[in-house]
Amino acid sequence: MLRESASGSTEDTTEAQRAHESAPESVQSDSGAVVLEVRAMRRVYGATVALAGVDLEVQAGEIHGLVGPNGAGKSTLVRILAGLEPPDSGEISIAGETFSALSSSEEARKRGLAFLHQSFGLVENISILDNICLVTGYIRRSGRISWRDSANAARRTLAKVGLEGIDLKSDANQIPLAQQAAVAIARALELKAKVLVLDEPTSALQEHEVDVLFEILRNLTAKGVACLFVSHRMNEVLAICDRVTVLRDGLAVATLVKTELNEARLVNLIAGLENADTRPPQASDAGTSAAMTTVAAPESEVPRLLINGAFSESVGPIDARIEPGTIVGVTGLADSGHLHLAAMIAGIETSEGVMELDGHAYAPKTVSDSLSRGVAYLPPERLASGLAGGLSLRENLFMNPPQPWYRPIRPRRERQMAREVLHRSSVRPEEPEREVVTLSGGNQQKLLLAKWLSMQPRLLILCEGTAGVDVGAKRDIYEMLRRRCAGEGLAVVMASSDFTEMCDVCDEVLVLARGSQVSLLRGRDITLTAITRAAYSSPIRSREAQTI
Amino acid sequence: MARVSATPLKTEEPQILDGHGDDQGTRRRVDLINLLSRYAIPLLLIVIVATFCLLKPSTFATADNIDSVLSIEAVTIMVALAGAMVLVVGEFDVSVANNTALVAALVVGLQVLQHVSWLLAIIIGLAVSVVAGLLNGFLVVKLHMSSFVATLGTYSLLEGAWIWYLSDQTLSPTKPMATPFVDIGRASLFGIYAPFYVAIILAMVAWFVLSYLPTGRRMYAVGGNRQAARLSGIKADRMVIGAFVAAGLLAGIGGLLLGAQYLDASPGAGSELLFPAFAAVFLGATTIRPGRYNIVGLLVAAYALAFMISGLQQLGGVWSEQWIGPTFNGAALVIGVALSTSAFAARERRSKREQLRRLVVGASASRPGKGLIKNAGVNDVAH
Repeated sequence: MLRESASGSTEDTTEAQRAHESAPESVQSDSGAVVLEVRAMRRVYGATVALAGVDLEVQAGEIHGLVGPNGAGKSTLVRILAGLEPPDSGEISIAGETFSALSSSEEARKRGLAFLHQSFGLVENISILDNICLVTGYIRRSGRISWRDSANAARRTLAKVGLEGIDLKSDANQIPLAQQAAVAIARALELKAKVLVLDEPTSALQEHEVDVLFEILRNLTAKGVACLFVSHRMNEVLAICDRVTVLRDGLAVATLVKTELNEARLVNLIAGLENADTRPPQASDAGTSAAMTTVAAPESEVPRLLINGAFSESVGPIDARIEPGTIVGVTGLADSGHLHLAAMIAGIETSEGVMELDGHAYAPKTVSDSLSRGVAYLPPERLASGLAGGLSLRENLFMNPPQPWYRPIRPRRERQMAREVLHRSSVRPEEPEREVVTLSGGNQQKLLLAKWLSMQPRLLILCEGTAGVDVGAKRDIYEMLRRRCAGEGLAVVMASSDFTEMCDVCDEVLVLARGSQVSLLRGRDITLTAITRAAYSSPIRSREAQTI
Repeated sequence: MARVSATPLKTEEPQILDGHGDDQGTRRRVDLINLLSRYAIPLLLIVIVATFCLLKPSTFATADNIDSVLSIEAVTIMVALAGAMVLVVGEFDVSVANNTALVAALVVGLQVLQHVSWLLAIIIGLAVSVVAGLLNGFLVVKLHMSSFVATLGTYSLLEGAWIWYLSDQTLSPTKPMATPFVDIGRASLFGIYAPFYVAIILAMVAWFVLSYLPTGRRMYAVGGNRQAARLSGIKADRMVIGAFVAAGLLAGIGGLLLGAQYLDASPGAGSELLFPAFAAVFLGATTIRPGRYNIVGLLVAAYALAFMISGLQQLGGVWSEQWIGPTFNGAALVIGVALSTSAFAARERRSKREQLRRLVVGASASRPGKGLIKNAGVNDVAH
């Protein structure tokens, strides 16, 4: 099947053949010359300014870090470079040639940009050889694929990234992740890439695999290839980057060279606190961010939820105590595991360790377990897992009617109740028979929250509860939660990677980084700086202590 | 097909919220279009019956003809009800048609060949249909098979079973069959045979369960978004298995009606039910409660199709040829689904556009009164 599909594209092959025959080195360029330059790049979505005029300069032979908080515009910039979307204004120069936009990923590739994404982009269940040839083209002799020549070419390709001994016939998903990354890099380079853009390439890799990847990158830069390394892992950025550009609010706020680089400085730039170093240090967030802050707080006799050494593959060990009537934030960067912790409490993911709900052992195996104990879980993706878009607001609110099976639903009464709920939670419009898909994101989120609150939970777990929600709806949501906390002693676990939100609503914030609990902040200690510092720290997870 | 079965169909375009200053005329026109599309199929049924009554007053507009269409269609309706039960929970069951055929063969065959009492024959027949439903549910829920593939398998399995049972022969009773059994198919009330009443009563039960009992709500919830249903505490797997079992039982009752109507079971009877039944389900989902598999719509669509085909056959000439039935049912199914999926796609597009607009408006609510924003009606959006 593969052979057939491959034989369809003759042009590709001839082009690739030429590539194979040409000089083995992918690029010849002087180290230090600017190979990629972005000038005054601007991109606006509706009223959201993603890029507000970014300038960026990448030199041949350097590894250039690109860091910034969530929503700073990193991914927009990468997408524009990849030709996936056009900028509103600005210029891109690649090796001296200037473009106003790269019209397609094909063009980006042709101009010498190569990309390595989190998942590396290999086709899992076909061979390494096919994965390489799909990009570089198969070599033909008299119209038919010559497997021997193709394999030799692939071997030469792989040799450049130090992957000599690999079995070309094994499927892509059968080799270690670091090698998959290497294959992806190798085939990208075969297209004569001048700049390799790596977008969070290490998030799936183990510690030692990261070292392998870095070794490959260093070899590449020695040959004059430039790397743009997009990451939020400070220790990796510090370890490998020659220069680092910090992006914030759609602007490049600083570019630091190796000698200027240190973790505190980077984190301050990311958090928008350039002058933080000159301020009198606060008690809890000065010094090493990874240190656990232990603050004594007033404790009730019985906590709503007690977590003791909860641990799973992706998060833990976690110790936490959640009091009735409080909102506890669980936060961290996208891959910190905060959502896994939420899922663990809800019984969706399994965990080791002990949990107690209102003083009684709590070990949910399924969602119905946790629900029957009064723990409600609001999933991160509204329409994907929280609401049925094709059903009406009323049906969504009363999806699981509480009455016995033989008692009919009374639509009029239900409509009345629905209208009250919608009014109370300020969902607009207050039309119970309207379909959920016709609501805006903010109103959907409020509806979802109203639905879950109408189940009268004792503990509510909210995952990325306000993502993609406008400011007004956010305020409504916070108010709803506050009211229920104060009135009924509801406890809320708010898992979110929106640090500002943590500062706005939470009584306590648990900060995770790479699955480890790095900080517990309370009351006045909850500041953007403190959260950012903790979230960007790089703790080593002590897995052994817990698993065995 | 999978897409269609999972997402309820929709012909109605939900109106987008458009502030208070919106053009009332446009809105009224939209309402009229909605109304028309909602009742298009019932209207069609009336038009069909009226037309053929005028065209063929001596054959179509007779009590006998109407009666025979009503009662013959009862079996199709049972199969359609069975299909709808499973579609509501977001799965698909093709096997119901051969379930009906197998049970028809069993209830007659057990009496004629094995000399079993009529009551026991019925019990065995229905038990088999329930087991078939249970098997489907098991394959889909426990083995995580795609329901289309799984039931395609059991479809063929059931077909094999009844062909084997009848050894490819048509059964003809050698002695008169038990009266109560014959009555199921032949008893009449107000000149209409019993199967019609059985189908209508069961359809009403299904309608009541789906629209008014908690179970029905849960079924629609599972079909609408299984994950959301689970998070609401609904035991989704149990609902899906239940739907397959209910489908099996309904199909089995259809088989009982079929067997009692003809008192023989000719090979092929069941497979011929598949298309008319699913055409009725899908077409029915575009009417009465558009976007939802609904029982009233199903009944209306089933009879519209049945009267249409019966009428065409009486026109004679090319219209009475064998190919008309399947062609017509196939076309109705395709057109019904096409209408509703294109409307569904339009709805998706609109709601996406809507959300984008809301994003713009929401973010710039602080400076209202500018082009786009004004038209969008800030009142509705800025809470």
